[in-house]
Amino acid sequence: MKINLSFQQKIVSCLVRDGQLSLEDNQLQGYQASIDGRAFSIALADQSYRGYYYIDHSANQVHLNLGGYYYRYDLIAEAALNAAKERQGNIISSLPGKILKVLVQPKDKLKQGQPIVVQEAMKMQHTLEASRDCEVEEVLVGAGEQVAADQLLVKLK
Amino acid sequence: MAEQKLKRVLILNRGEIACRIIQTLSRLGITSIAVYQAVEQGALHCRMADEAYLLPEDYLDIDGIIELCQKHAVDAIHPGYGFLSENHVFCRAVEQAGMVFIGPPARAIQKMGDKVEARRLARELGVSLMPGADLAATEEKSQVELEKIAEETGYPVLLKAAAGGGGKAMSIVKSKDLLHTEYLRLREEAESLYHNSALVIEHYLEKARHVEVQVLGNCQAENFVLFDRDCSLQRNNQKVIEEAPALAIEDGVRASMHSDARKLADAVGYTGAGTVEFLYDHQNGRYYFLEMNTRLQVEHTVTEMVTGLDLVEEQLKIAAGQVTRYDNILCGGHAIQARICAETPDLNFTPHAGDIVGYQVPATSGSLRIDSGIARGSAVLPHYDNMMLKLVSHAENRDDAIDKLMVALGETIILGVHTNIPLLRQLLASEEFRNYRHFTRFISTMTLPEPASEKEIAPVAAACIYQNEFQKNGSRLKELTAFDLLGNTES
Repeated sequence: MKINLSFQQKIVSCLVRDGQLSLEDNQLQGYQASIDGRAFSIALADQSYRGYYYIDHSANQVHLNLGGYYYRYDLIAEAALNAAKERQGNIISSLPGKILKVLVQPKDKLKQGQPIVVQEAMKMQHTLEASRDCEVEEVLVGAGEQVAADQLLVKLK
Repeated sequence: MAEQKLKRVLILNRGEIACRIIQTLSRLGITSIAVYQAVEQGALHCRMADEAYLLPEDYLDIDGIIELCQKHAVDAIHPGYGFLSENHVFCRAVEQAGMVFIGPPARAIQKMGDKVEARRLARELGVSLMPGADLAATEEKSQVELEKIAEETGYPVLLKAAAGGGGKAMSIVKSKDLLHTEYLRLREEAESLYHNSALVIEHYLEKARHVEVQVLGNCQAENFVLFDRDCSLQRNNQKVIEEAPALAIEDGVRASMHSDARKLADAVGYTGAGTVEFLYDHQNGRYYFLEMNTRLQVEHTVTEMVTGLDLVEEQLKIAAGQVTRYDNILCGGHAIQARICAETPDLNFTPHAGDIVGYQVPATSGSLRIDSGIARGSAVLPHYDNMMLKLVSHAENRDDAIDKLMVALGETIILGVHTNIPLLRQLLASEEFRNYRHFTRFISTMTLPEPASEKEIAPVAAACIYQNEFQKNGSRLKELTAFDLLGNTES
């Protein structure tokens, strides 16, 4: 069985063989997990991590709290994996709100950290930036537009 | 002023402060009336109040609110903080409609709300001000004129809107290069935000502490000082950790700060709870008047913890015309508050929104207080401020209060939104804060370590949890009963 998880557009695939779980590109070996309904603990070598979780079946999500940090993993069906990978690395709104400025045009070459879109949400302005050097492929929003959470705003390549 | 009985009080606010005010009203047997917007259906403050009504428009719609209050026979309105709490037009409208505004008189709000006016008053009273000048709305300064003023003020300078507050429409300028551009930009911003392009220019202290004095004016406008608070830890000019009392201030300096605060409050005929804010330069022991906030503040809790007073109860007594005095109030121990906000735990402080699917907080006691506006099942909405709850600890001394708050933050589990809890814990654990060497810009000088090990473990945990679920329920995943981290959060 394969489990595909996505958190902040980063996709992790896990394989389950004979009840043991292995992660692609992950060095973790020989951990012990215990799960008791809402709390979990993972022991690895001499370190132990305790956290809390909630499974949202209708949204296919696992919510985790680990060391005060919050993670929300979307469970992605194998068939949807390609579509999810295609979204990776693009500019996506994390909150619903209004687009104040679009600072790029198709074919613009961008440097890492360059501002792309300024969005207003929760009465604050925040700027979405390029996470790497890239080129703008398509701009899907304009200034003044209302956007939803998780909406694809600018396609990068 | 004749004493009157307030029987029905409307809280023109939401979130933790509305819940906190409702608690005091319930204890005093006063009917609490909440208001909400359509998007807030089922919000905690509405469930806690005796009555709840849909606002015709929003929390700023003066005419609609007054009409709603009259329809439901409201005696008095508590504005909380933010929204219309410092709006003198609203305050007058409430009074003209024959109701009581729980706060200072309109003219006091108006005087202190205008930074130019407030600075003029402070100057007249001999309260020390940061070197600076008023930049009136009517005459736009030329580049040469402005550079001369900034030179006299001394770089770096802080430019801010005269009508502004809460960290909005302000900018720190380090040299003359960007001075005029920023000046023009802020005039525009101030005009669009407040319909008033007047600015204030002040010298900016790079390493200062934010010290503020709590005042409480009785119904005869006789003002009392309820000690001070240190609120130096700020991000984006908004406070995140506050404590009472402020420490490491010489007795004489503190006494003079308190007396200046009282002088300012008396000069505007202040009644009720208010805060006079100062910047304190710990390198030379000098302090400078910043502004007066004419309302109950987010951090009033730490003052309540060290004095044992319920400031909302006192506000109600004062508003009802009861003659109160606060001469013999003592300051006991040390209290610290942490504001828990829905935001990314990195240093961008991007707000976050979502449904709270898990909520667990430590048990409260005389030494740990929790003021919360959320419960499991609540929605943190993108339309409003992202502060969800406050944890407040109280102990004999500062170190113990910090320890207690650290533990409490570790026991606070929120699922559904990102929170600033990791940042708060790092702040409390920092050498600078522990040794009282923090200053207003401290957070902006910090670096946050990536939670490397947690980040590695998180996907493993998620996969294990999912696999476990799969094994238990086979291929047909059934809806589980709702996650119940803590049964008593809604009590």
